[in-house]
Order: sequence, then C-alpha cells, then structure tokens
Amino acid sequence: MKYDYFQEEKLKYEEIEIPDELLLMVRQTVAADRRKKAAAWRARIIKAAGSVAAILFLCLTIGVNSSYAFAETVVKIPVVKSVAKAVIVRSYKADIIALDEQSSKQPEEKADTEQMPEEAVPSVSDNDVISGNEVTEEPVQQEPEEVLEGFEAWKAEMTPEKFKEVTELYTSDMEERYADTPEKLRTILLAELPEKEVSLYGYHENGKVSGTALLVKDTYQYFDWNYMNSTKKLPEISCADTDGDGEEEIVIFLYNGEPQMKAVSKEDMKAPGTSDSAENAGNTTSDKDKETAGSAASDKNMETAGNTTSDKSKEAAEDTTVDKSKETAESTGTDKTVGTAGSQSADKNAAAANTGKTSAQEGSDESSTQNTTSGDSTKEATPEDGKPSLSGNDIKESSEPEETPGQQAGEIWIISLKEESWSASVLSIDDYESQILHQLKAEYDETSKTIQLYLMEEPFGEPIEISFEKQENAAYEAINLAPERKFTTESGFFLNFDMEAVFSETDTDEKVQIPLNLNLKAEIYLEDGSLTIKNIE
Amino acid sequence: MSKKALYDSLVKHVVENQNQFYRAAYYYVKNREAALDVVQNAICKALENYEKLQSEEAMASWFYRIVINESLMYLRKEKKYIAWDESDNDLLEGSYEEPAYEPKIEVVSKISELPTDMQVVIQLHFFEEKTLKEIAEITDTNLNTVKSRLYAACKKLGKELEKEDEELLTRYGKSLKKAERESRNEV
Repeated sequence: MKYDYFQEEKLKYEEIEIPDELLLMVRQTVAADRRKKAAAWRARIIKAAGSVAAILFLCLTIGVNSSYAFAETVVKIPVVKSVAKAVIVRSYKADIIALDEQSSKQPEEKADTEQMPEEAVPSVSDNDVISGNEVTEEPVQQEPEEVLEGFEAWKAEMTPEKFKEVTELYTSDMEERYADTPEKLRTILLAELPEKEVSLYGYHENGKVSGTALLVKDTYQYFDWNYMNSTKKLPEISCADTDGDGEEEIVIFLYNGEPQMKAVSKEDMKAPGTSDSAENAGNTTSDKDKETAGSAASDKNMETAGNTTSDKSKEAAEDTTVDKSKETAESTGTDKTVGTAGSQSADKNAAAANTGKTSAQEGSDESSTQNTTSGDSTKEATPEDGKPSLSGNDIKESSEPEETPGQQAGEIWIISLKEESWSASVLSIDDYESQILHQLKAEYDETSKTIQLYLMEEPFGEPIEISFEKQENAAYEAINLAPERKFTTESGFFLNFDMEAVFSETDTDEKVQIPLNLNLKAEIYLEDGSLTIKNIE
Repeated sequence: MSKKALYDSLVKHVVENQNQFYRAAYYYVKNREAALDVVQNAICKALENYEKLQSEEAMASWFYRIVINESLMYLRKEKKYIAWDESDNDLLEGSYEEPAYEPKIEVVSKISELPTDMQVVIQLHFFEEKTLKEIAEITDTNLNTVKSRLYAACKKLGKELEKEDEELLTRYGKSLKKAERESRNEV
C-alpha cells in the first residue's frame, strides 16, 4: 500500500497544536480595537459638533453685531438637535479578563473628575474632560494617596460572596447605628436591581464613597466613582436598551455632583487694555468664584448674581480672556470673529478687538501644547477643542450668569455588558443644560415693558409683562436662568428653569431681581446611547 | 447591513474560526509565536479596514486573504533577516539551527520548496479543502490562474514524488479533474 502524500500532509496540518494563548490574544485584540473605535467615534462626533458650532457662532456674531440690545440680552447660543446629541464625556472599557487594567485606569478617571470643575466653566465643551481620557499622569499624583490605597486594599479583598453579605441599603442613620463598628460600613449597598441581579456597592470611608463595585450576577467591576454629596441621595439603577441593539444596558444615575456656578462676577473682569495680562487671572478667579459659589447656599448664589454686571468694556475683556484660553489652531478663523464680536458688543474700543485677535492666536498655541500633554493623540484633541469657541462666546454674551442653585448635579452612566468586556460611558448633564441655555435668548422691550423669549431664534411663548416699583429708573440688565435637574430613570431627565429678570436702578446702581413666572421645561432622553433633547416647553 | 452589524459579524467570524487561522499562519511561518503575531496583525488590520468589506458573504475569503498575506509578509521579512544573518555567519558561530526543529523536513520541504503562490493553492485546496472558486476569491486571482497554479504545483511535486508514489500523479489528475468539474458547475 502506497501512502497518500496529501492525506499525510493534511493530517499533519490538522495536528498543528493550538496554543492556549490564542483565545486570550484574539479577545484582547478585539477588545482593544473596540476601545479604539469608541474613542474615534467620540472624536468624530465632537468634530462634527465643533463645526456646526462654528457656523452657528458666525450667525450669532452677526446677530450680536446688528443689535445692541440684542447683544446685551442674549443668553445664547447654538444648538441644532444634532449637536445636542451625545457628548460622551468619558468612557472606558473595563475588560473583565484583565481586571488589573482597571486599577491603572482609575487615576485617569479621578483626574477627569478633578478637571471637570476647572475646565468645564462653560460646560458645553467639556473638551479637556474628554481628552482627559488619555490624561497624563501628573494630575493623578495630586490625588490623595491614602484614599486610593484604601480603595485599592478594598478591591483586593472583596469577592462576590463578600459583596452579597451586604444586603441592607445604605441610609444615613446607619452611621449612628454602626458607630461602634465602622468596619461594617466599609462596604455599603448603594443601589440594587434584584430582578436583574445587579447591585452597586460602595467603598465607604469617613462618610464618603471613594470607589464602587458593580456586581452583575457573579461578575463585578470596580469604578472609581466618588460618591455621596451632602444630600446623601443614593444612586439609582435601571435597565434600558439605550443604544437600540436589542440588549439591555445598565443605567446608573449618580447624584454625585457639586453645584456649579457659571456666573462671571464683576471682580473677575479687567479693563480691555489689560486683558492680555489678566487672562490667566481671569480664568482662575472665575474658577474660584465657581467653587465658592458651589459651596455657598443657593440663596447666596442670588447675591453673587446680583453683583454681576454687564459693563460692556469689562465684558469685552472677559471675551478675550475666555477666547484666548479656549480657542484652537483649527478654529483660528473663528477666533478673529470672536475678538471682533467682543469688541463690537462693547461697541467701542478697537484695542480690545486687537487684543482679542492676538491673544486668540496665542491661545491656540497654548491650547495645542496643552493638548499634546493631556492626550496621546493631538488629532483627537483638536476637534474637541473646536467646540470651545462656543463656550467662549457663551460667557461673553451671557454677561448675566447662568447659575445652578444648590442642587445635586449628576452623571448618567451607561454600562453595557458584553461577553468579553463591559463598557461604561458617562453622559454629563452639564452639556445638555448649557446647550439649552444657549438656545434661549431674551429681549426686553422698554416701551411695552415686556420680555420676549427666543428659542433658536424663534419667538418663544408670549411676551411677559414686567412691572415693579421704580421701574422708570431701572435699566434692564439680564435674564438669569437657573436650571434644576430632575431625573426620571430609564428615559432621561427633565430640566426645569427658574428665570428672573435683573434690573439695575440708575440712581443707586442697586440690582432688582424680578422672578419670571414662566415654566420652562426641557426633556432629555436617552436614545441610541446618547442623550437627545426632546422637548422644550 | 449596518456597519456595526458588519463589524460584529466580523468579530464573530474571527473568534469562531481562530483555530483555522492560526493553523494557516503556522503552516507558513512554522513558529508558534510568529503565528500568533501573524493572526493578531491580521485581526488588527481586518478590524481597522472592515469598512472596505463589501458584504458579509465576502468576509470569510477576505479575512483568510489577510491572514495569508500577513503570513507571507512575515516570511519575506524573515527571509531578509536570515539573509542578513548568513552574511554574518562567522560571527554567529553556527547558532542557526533551524533544521533541528523540523525533523520531517524531507516531506515538508517538498511543498515548502514550491513558490509561495503554489504553496498557498496546495494548502487551501488539499488541507483546507477549499474549492477552486474559493481559492480564487481568497488569493484575489481568477479561476484559471488558480487552476494553472495547482496544476503546475502538482506537476512539480509529482516529479519530486514520482519515485515514491506512482499513484500520485493519477491522484493529482483526479483532483484536478474534480476541481475542474466543480468550477464548471459553479460557473
């Protein structure tokens, strides 16, 4: 019997041993690619949003220039529905296979949260927060080490079994009950969805949660969510198919924010001529202002609001300030417009415009260097920065502050469970809030003493009549909008806006706030993995 | 088919057939680590360029092509490297002991001495049992080229093996006839 050459060769071929690493390698490669795709997708969206923003910005510039009153009263900006869609602020994939990776990601995440209040002043952008995904190590080091250690130790120690021992939902009275045995409060149950076997645990220390673990059946994943603000409101978990892929994702509402204040106060503004040197000071002080406002009670916020002024030359200074730090090389063309717009809304002082131009240029350099350090791909960072032209505008035009009273700000986390990896993305509510704010404008008609609201350039609702004592002697200053968030799990959240008109008395320069009885409500829904603004009523 | 669905089905295809791809890669590069590298590179490239994929039907051939191209590319690089090594052979003091890893070299070499395009046809046709049409798709050539390559490869091998197996030539003949029948039916 003569042997069959090919049969033998084929057998040999089939006997080629498959190494164990193959499966792992394939999975990791696929997971890595998915991560990459997610990042690219974010960058694309942001770029698209950036360019739309630039166009809208130009339109606004014209509007601002054509009407003095308009320029003064706008609470502004763009937003077409598509822009309003989904700005995912940060997102990362957590590989279950490589749990260790998670720990290396944590500091980055923390850095994000840290950056948020600093960078996201006009929070449409959140640009740096996004690139913060690939944030450098430096800010990480500033993180209180011991907290991280505590959480790390906890992570090393916990198992699904140990998690399951904790069955009582956390309440603040547990602090008293377990005063003698604080170790019982080390792991607390924050939220659960028993029918889906989903529960969220927190690493609890000194009344704060500095890390969480999401347990789904017998698998779990750690997240570095800092939790627990003064309200002690617990997170909410629900399940919904947010991206329409037929599989349910876990949606977690975190009431973890600190109140933010977008007001720009008088003290922060410098005369136009000094704007160049004042830029940094301007930025930092407004940040500080925000912080102090954040910690202050909401009634105090009002006071700060009252202090705010629409002094035009100072406003212009503010423009250049914001422009400079925010503009990018990509939108340099727009930058110049910003400068011009600023100066014209000031209606005088060409010097301011010039400063605006040059400083915008410098700013572009500055921000691009910043980007190189903060993200490993400058490409990604550039389109992200495209948006801020919007934000710069935002602050400038709304010389009246947009403020958030002492409510819990929040994040919505969407966690999709896939076989080989979980992906978590967070949607920042700030974005949507300011986008809506930007769509609103108000104009005060002195003859009829009414305020007309505009939404996307269209008159919105009936003109509101205003009357108060000494109205004859008062000059209209601004409309303040204070959004209040109300979460409705599964579908999304509502934003309710409290409004007030601000007048200043010409003699005494005293501010008068007139609450406007207009119920403005925006509904924002989760759809296709992103938030979409549905209705504004 | 949406892009996302295409991507997902590509991932599924890769994960499900990973052993097949690894074998193919190993067959060419004859080294475990290298074969893993080749498969990994192939997956990366495929996932990066999945948008170029026209349809789901084309996916299997398309991905197989990437695996084979990656393998051959690896071999080309390797060849360069070895050539460089050989020029420095005096310095290496005979550290190159490749033959020792291939105890059955006398059989393997008969196929591996063929030009690579013929090797590919042999591997796909005899080991993976692909039809000639499929081979044409995978190698991105037309059917006649595949046929002539297979025929030439068999002839070459036949000459080599003639002394060992007289039946072999007739087997090649059968195989070729079968292949031709197949292709006629398909056309």
